[in-house]
Amino acid sequence: MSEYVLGIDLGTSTATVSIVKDGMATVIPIEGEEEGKIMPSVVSFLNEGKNILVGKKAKDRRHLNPINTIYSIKRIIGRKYSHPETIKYAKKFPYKVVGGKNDSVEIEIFGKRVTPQMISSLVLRKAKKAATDYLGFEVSDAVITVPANYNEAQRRATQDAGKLAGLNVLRIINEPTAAALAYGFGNNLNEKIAVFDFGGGTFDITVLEVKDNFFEVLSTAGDSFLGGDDIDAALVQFMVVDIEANYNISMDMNNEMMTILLAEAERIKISLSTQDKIKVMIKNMIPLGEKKYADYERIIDRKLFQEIISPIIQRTFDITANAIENAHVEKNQIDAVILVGGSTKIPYVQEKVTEFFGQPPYFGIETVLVISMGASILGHTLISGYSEAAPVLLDVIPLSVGVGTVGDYIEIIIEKNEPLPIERTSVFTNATDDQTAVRIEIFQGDARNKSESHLMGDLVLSDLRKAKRGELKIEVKFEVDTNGVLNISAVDLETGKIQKISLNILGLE
Amino acid sequence: MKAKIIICMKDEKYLRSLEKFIVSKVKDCECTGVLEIKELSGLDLSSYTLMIVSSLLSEGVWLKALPVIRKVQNFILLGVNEGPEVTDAIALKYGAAAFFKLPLNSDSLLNAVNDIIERAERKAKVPDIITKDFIDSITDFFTNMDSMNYYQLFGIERTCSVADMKKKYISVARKFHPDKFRNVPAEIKTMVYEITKRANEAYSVLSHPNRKVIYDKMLTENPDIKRFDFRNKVAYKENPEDAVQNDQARRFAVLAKKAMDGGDFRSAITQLKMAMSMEKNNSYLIKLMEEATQKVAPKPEKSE
Repeated sequence: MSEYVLGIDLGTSTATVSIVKDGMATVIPIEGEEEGKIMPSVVSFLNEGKNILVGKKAKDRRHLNPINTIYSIKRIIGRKYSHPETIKYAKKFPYKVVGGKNDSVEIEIFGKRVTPQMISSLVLRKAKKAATDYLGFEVSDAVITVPANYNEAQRRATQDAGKLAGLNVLRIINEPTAAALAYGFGNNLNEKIAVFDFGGGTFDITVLEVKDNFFEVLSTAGDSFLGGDDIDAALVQFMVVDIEANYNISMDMNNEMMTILLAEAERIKISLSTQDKIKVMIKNMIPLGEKKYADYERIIDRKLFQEIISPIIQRTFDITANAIENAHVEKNQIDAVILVGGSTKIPYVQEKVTEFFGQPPYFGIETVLVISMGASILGHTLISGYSEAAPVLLDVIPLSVGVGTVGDYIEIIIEKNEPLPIERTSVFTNATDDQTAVRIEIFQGDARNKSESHLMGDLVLSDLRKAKRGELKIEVKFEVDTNGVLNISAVDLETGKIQKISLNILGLE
Repeated sequence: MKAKIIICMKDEKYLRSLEKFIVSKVKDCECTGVLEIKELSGLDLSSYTLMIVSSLLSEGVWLKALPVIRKVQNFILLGVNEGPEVTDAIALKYGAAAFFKLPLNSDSLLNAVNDIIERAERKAKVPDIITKDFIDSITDFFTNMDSMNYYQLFGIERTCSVADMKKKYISVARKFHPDKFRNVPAEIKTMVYEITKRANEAYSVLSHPNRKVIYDKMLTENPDIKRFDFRNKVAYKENPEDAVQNDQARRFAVLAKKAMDGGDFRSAITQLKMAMSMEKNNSYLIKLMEEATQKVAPKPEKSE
C-alpha cells in the first residue's frame, strides 16, 4: 500500500481534504457537496440527535432547524466561555451555547451537551470517509490546518477533534503557511511572499521568504474574530437599521428571522462579487402589527456594499501593516501576494489589496482549495523518507507567552515570531518558608499587563522540597513544538531532580 | 515482526469469534483473548502491542485497567449501546487509536488494525538513506553542541555577515529539521529536535542586532559561556510585597501600601523611603514610590 496523508482544511464555513497523489496535490471529491468537493462545516442534529447530517445537507437545514444546526463552530472552539467574543457569538448563534468545566464552551442539543471538539470531529470524520471512499482504503494520518493566530487552547482543541475523528494528527499547520507551500513548492522560487488569508471567521497575514523549497515565516499576525461572518453580520445590521428607519418600528429579532437575514446577507455578498448590484427581497419580513407583514425590498449596489463593509476591511490592513513591519521588510520588497479564503473573492477586497501592496495579487491558485492542498504537501513530506531536497518549513510562534508577576505585570518568556521549535527557561522560587506549591499564571499575547492580556491557564509546581523562602530554584522549561503547542517541564536546580509540574489550559475540559 | 494483539471483553463467545477473525485476516499476528482485565498483568505488553478492549467492562474496571492499558502503544476501543455509555470522548480520554460502536463493521475494524500495525512498523524501520555515517554525524553534532558557541555551531567567524550566517543556519535546518525524521527511532528524533531548537536559538540571537551585541560582549568577557541568557529571573510572589526580599523592608512596604490604599500618600512616601534604604533597586518599591509621589505632587496650575 502506498502511503498517504490527508491534508484537511477545517475552515469556519467550509472544509476540504486533499492528498498528494502521483506527486500532485489533489483535492478529494466529496459526494453531494458544493462543487463536489467543498463541504460546509455545518452539522445538523435531527430526531432527538439520533440522526446527524454533515455538510451541505446540514447547511440546507439551517433555517428549518436553527437550534439544532451548528455552524461556525471554529469561532468558539477552544475559547473560554467567559471571553467577551464567545459571549457575543453565544448571543448571535441560534443554537444554544453554554459554559462547561474549566471555563470551556459547550453546545446543548436536545438537552445533551456536546463539545465544539465533537462537532468539528464530525466534519473531520466525513472528510476522512470521503478519502476512504475515494482511495478504496482507510487513511488515518492527517495534517490539519488552523489560523496562524490560534492560541494554545484552540490548537489543542483542534488536535483533540482530530483524535475524536479517528485521525492520527501528524501536525497542526498554520493556514497561510499551508497556502504558501501550495504556491511555492517545487517551483524553485526565490521570493518574499505575503499570504492574505481572509476566510469565513478569521483573518491572518503571514510574510514568508521562500528559497529553494525552504519556507521561512518572517512574521505572522491576525485576528481570530474577523472574517466573512462579520461582513454578513454588518449586512444584517444594515438591513435591520434600514427597516427600522423606514417603517419607524423596532424589530423584535428571533432566531428564524436572524437565520433568514444571515442567509440573505451571504447571498448579497456572493452575488456582488460578480454583479454590480442586487435586489434584496425578503417576503413577510416587516411586522406591521396585527399579524400583518410587509416584504422587504432594497437595491444594494457595490458602492453601498463597500460603505457597509469598509470598516471591517480597514482592520485587515491595519494588521497587515503591522505584520510587514515585524518581518523587517518593505511593502515594495514583497514579490507576490497570495489571496486565500472566501472573503478575498470580494472585488473590493482585491482592489484594496492591490492598492496597499502596489501590485495585483496572484490569481493563479484556487483560494478555497489551496490550504488543504498545502497541508497535504507537508503531510507527504512528513511520511516520505529523508531527503536533503525535501521542503523545510520554518514557522514561528504567533503569540508571545509570558508569566504573571507582581501586580499587573507580565514577564514575557517567549517573544512572538521566534522560529519553532523553541525552548526558553525561567527560574522560579518559593515566596515563603516551606511553601508546598507555587501557582504561576500563563498569558498569551502582546500586552505586558494582565488586565489586557489573554490568560491561557496556569502552571502548578507541587510537592516542593522544604526550604527557606527564596532558597528553592526551580527551572521551568517552556517549549513550543512545531505544532505551535506548549510543553512544560521543570527541574530542581540544586538536586537536579525532576520537579512535579502541571499545566492547566482554560477553555478545555 | 509479529504484531501482538490482545482482545479483552466479557462476552466469551464474541471474544473467541473475534480472535479467530483477527488471526485469519491480519497477517503475521499473535492474538490472545482475555476475559478479565486482571489477566492482562501476566502478559507481555511490549511497545508494539495492539489491544482491542470492549467497553463492556464497567467504568470502575476501566479505571483499574488504566495503568495496564497505558503501557500499550495502541488500543482500539469497542463501544456498546448499553451499560456505561462509551462515546468518542471517552475513547479519546483513554487514548484510544480508534473507536467502534458494536456491532462492529469487520472491514473498518480490520482497516484500523492494519493501519496501526503498519504505523508501528514504519516507526521501527530506519529508511535506508539515513546511513550509519549520517547517524554518527547527528550524534556528534548533538554531543558537541553544548560545548560550542553559536558561531561554532554554524561554523562561522564572529565577523560573518548576517546573510552568510543565515545561509549556514538554513543549511543546518535543512539537514536536521525534525519533519524529515518522522520514521526513525526515538533517540534520533530527540537528537535532531534538540539540534533544531539550538539552531533556532542561535539564529534568533545572531539575527537580532541587540541580542548579538550583548552576546558578543558576553563571549569576550567569558568564553566559557556558550548560550545567550534569555532567562528572566522571576521570583514568584503570592503577594506583591513578596517581591521585597529584605524582611524589614517588606514590613515598610506593607505599611506603605496600606497608607496608600487609605489615601495617605505622604506617610506612604516616608515608609517607602525607609524600605528603599534597604532595597534600593526593587522595582515594586520604585513603582509604589512613583505612584505616591505623583499623588502628592502639586497639580500644575491651569493657565488662565
